[in-house]
Amino acid sequence: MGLFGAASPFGFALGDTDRRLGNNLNFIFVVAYGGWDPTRVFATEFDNPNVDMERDAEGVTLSNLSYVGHENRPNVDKFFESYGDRALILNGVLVPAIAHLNCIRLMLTGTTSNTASDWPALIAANSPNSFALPHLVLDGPSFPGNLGSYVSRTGSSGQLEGLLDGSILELSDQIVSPPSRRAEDLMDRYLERRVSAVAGNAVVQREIDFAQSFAASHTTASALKGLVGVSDFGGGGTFANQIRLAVDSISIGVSRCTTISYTGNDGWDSHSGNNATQSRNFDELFAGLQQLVHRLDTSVGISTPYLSEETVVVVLSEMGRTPQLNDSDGKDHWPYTSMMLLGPGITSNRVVGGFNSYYYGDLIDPSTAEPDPNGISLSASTVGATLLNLADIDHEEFMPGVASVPGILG
Amino acid sequence: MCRLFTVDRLGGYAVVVALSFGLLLSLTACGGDDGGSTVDTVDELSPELAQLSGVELLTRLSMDLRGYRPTVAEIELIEADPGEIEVLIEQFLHSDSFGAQIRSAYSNIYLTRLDYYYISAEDYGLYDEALFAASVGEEPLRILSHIVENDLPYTEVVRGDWTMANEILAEAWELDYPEGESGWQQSTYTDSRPAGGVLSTNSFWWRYMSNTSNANRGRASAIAKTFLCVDYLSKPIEFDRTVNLLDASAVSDALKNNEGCVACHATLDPLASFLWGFYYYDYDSREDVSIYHPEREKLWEEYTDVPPGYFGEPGYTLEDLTRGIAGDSGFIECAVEQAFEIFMGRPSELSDTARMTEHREAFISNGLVLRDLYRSILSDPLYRSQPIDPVDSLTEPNPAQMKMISTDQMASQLEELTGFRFSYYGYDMMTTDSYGLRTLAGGVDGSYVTAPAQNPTSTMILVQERLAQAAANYAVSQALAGYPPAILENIGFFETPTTDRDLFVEQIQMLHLTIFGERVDADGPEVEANIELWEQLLEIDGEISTAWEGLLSVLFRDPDFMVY
Repeated sequence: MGLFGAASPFGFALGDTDRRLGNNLNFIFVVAYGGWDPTRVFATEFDNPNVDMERDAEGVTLSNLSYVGHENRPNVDKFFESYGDRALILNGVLVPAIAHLNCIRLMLTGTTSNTASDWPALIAANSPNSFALPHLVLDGPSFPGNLGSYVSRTGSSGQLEGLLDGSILELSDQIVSPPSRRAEDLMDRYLERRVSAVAGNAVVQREIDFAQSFAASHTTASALKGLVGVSDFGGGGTFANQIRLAVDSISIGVSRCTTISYTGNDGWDSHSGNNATQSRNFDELFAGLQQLVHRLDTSVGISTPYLSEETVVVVLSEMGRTPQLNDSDGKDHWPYTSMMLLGPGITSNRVVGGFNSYYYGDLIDPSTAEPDPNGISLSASTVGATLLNLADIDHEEFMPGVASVPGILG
Repeated sequence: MCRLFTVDRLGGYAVVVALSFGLLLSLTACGGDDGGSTVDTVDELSPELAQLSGVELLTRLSMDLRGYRPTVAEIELIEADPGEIEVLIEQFLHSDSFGAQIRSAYSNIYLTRLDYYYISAEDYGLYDEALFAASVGEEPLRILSHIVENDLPYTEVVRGDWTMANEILAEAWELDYPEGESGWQQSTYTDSRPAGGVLSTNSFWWRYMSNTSNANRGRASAIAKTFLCVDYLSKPIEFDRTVNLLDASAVSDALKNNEGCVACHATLDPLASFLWGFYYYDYDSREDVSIYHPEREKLWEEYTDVPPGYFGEPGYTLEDLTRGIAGDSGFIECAVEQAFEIFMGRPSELSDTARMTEHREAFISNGLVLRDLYRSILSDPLYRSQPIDPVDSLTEPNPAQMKMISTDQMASQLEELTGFRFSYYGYDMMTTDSYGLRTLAGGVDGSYVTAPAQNPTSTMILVQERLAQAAANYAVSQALAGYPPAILENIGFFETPTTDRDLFVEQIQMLHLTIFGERVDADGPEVEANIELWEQLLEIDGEISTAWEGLLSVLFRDPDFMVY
């Protein structure tokens, strides 16, 4: 049980029906925004004459898992040596666009619609349990759609902490001070009654939506203020800090989903100098992933002894990069990429999908996730539908007609 | 001649764009000439919608045009004579706050207000990074608001041979910023760049960078979306698995002949070829990104071999492009669509076609003056109607929606009431993200967050709370120091419900009128609840000023203060 247990405003009692694995899975989305090059870690395309692999790179096989190793990326090796048996690599994932913003929207929502909600928002909002911050975005993209009341951002400089304890006002050029805690509690209770009245009086649908969202968000905000001193939402936006807060938020039952981001020193968008950029970024990303999994392994779970037993980590970038280097030793945008999943509920220690000679994604049989020339593309939307299924959500409700890939679920 | 531009532009997905009105506007505008269906008038289409009260309309107008609520004097004026609303509209359209409102509304379309660019203030020997980034992001929006506030023809936005600059940009770039002036001034780049309004600014192209493989296509797409309301990116790409994308000649051939590619690239790539003069070899080079490069104008020959052209019309220079845009009916229709959606607070719909056609005609007949377009929309019965549950938009128009305040309005309406603006070492906390609160308050950062929140979020509630507390604290402090903001002018900080209940009730009634534009009864539940809270707050530390401060902050946090 989480830190607060059932007595906390964020805790919840698990009924029999809620004990199904999917209902109790948490999700951490790790976004490498800018477009990574799968051939530097995931895509072992050494035999593909159309793909420029990195000099001195080599294929590494650990049990059923194969990946690209390189002396400049020791943390990739360390990660797979320690946690490869929990990893599922998806190769040849189609993101049918080549512009960053479109791709990230597609990767996280399956569509280019600007009203669609992303996977973490859908999973957070469709939980049988209640959370103060159902989807906490520490950094990176988020597409809440109409689920904005389920999604919160911390701010890249830890602004959420300052908002919660009122210390943000200390930054003001004009000297101001917040009310006493007692007065603030009084005012919060007053507003709670007022918000409830407004929600009760709303007639037109737009008013009802607003009032309900206001009420839910007000309740969440009030409850969050109770966390001051329990969890530190500040500390800045370094990857290590994001990891710490992402895991803590889930561990104490505040959040079901979190999104964190590793953008690297110069970003991932390596139109020039691909090798150096991608190598450094991947090494640092995988160093962070080691920290993340270690922290999940040593943090108390909500319904299991350790958080790693109930938390799925989804590592993604919005696009891949061209198989061949351009004139600037860079690689440009490519619509096929790779993803990596870690955690319970998936068939781990496995590589699914692949690339053909054109460096297009191979087709797979969704029921087994094995190659099938008459199968379907592994795509952002099929993977997203599968993640919803993993969370015990019927994806058809949100993505009618899209196939999921049950073959990757364990 | 009437152009069915959507079919020309995007071929295969004309239907998608038709649903966004361009085609329908063209069809309806041409209908009469061809002896087809005639355009219905606005009056004929008007459903039986309840109109807003005079004060409700006043509040909507004030928030939309100034970013804050009406004053008590304005409310009393409308209560006495609702016909005075037309006079007030003119005042609002010429108010000091109008330009800022326009910039705020269009910032969600231009998406130029980023916190960071590839080039920093330090690269220019400047020290204020936040101010530099804010200035860069503001340049295109200042051009637009200058056009609006000076009743210049809208074509200037892509045809003007001038820009807007402040001291920061003037120090960084080659501009003839007027000597001895300060603040935002009309200026001209002195690097001999072609005239092109926003399309000839450094800011717009810093926001929409490109590289050799993209070959300015992203920029062309940004032009189409921003100025023609044509969104190339709205269509997922259908990848033809038989085309070898690794073969440059096969790709080049596909872009010209493959059905799935041609739908977009046949028109997108020629647009992109106009933009090579703003191509930067090195994003990080101050020298490279600060000036126009006429010597690069023909780089399309090297990179795409697609000559410049505007939807089938061949061209050569950026001026040819901007002439094409300015002469395109889609450019006008897009301006109408954007303004209509801004003021209605909802996407345009099929049933809006007749109304938008009338607004377009008003726009055209008045020389493409945006203020006239706004006047036309603001007098639309749909704008002046009570919100209702959505109706079938295929058959019946929907009135304007209740709007949630934007991040900018969150700040501006509190500033107007109390004088408080949340800044940190001069940086506006509500317009930045690195240290500020913009996206936490539901705003747009132009990169990760490209649309404002439509409903409250928990962080927005927290921002509103802290902002309200600060504004209330500041207002009361000012009042106690002898400089009361208008909102506290009637409060003496010695009355209590016990010493003079009638006066106290009047003070609370006045607060409601000032803050919400709403009269509440002396014995109504609002007043009763406010007095009860006030007394409870007084009990905490015995300070009358603290009790008023608390009550004020609660009113600023009220759900009604977040919508209009």
